[in-house]
Amino acid sequence: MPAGVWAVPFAVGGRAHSRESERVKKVAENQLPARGRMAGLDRQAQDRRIDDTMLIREAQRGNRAAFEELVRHYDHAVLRLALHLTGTEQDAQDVYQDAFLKAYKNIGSFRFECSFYTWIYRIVTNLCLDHLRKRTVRKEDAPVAKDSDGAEYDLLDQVADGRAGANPERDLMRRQLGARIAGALDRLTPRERMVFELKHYHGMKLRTVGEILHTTEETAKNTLFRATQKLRGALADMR
Amino acid sequence: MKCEWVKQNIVLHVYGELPDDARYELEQHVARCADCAAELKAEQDFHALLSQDRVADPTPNLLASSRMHLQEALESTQQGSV
Repeated sequence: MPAGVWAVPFAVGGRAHSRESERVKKVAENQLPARGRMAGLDRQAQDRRIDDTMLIREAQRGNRAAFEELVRHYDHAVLRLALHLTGTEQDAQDVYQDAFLKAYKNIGSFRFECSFYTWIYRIVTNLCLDHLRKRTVRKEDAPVAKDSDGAEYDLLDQVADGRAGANPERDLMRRQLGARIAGALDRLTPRERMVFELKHYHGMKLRTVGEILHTTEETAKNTLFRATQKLRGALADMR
Repeated sequence: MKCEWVKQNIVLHVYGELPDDARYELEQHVARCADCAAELKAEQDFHALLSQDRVADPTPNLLASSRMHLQEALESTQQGSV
């Protein structure tokens, strides 16, 4: 397949390119947990669902370009989630690859009983939960390093960040805060970590979190409560 | 009993997950109860602290390389094969 295949717009009315840039903007907006941005997302979600339906049907007929277009609707958000949960680019890339390959192999059995969004997040969160469970077993291998003051910080926190460099003192404080939070997150159970991650960092509604994790909204609420209590306990000295 | 209910629900309040009637009830209670008001303040402060830590976006290189690897894998993958 030619290298530029990702750039080939799938023919759904010839507006694929401009729609893609809009979509990137939407995805970027969705990723910030600020509550104000949630307004209006319902309509956007509905528009995307219509798009997805066409693409899924095409993909189910064996159209790989349609599947690849579908991947592009979600892959930035998926990679961001995997990167934060696994902590390394290599692991995040493995989750990304496994998730979309699994989706591709099983797209034929997608019956539109839930949104594609929920479906793909089920796959991704399952893979990430497996990863977290394995990591719980071998915690001594956690990617921890020491800074010049001897304080431990997590290597995950070294992920490239465009804001770094402007104010070294603030950057250091932010890194130390990030390291403390990462350490506290690591002590949650994989399930608590996942609920907290989807709610706090990805701004999802608990109803959606429940759907993705095959549980009730009530259970997701209780899990969020427990996770927050534990985190508050672990970070009590930082307030 | 009321205080216990409020303490269980403060985190949902902070995340904007309480239905209107429950939110109203919680706000009414907090206005009268110093203990619960302190708990709400503590949860809000904690939320603000956590919010200083943002999730990093994947770099464009990571995204491009992930897409490329996936594309290669898709070429040799059949739908329906598990």
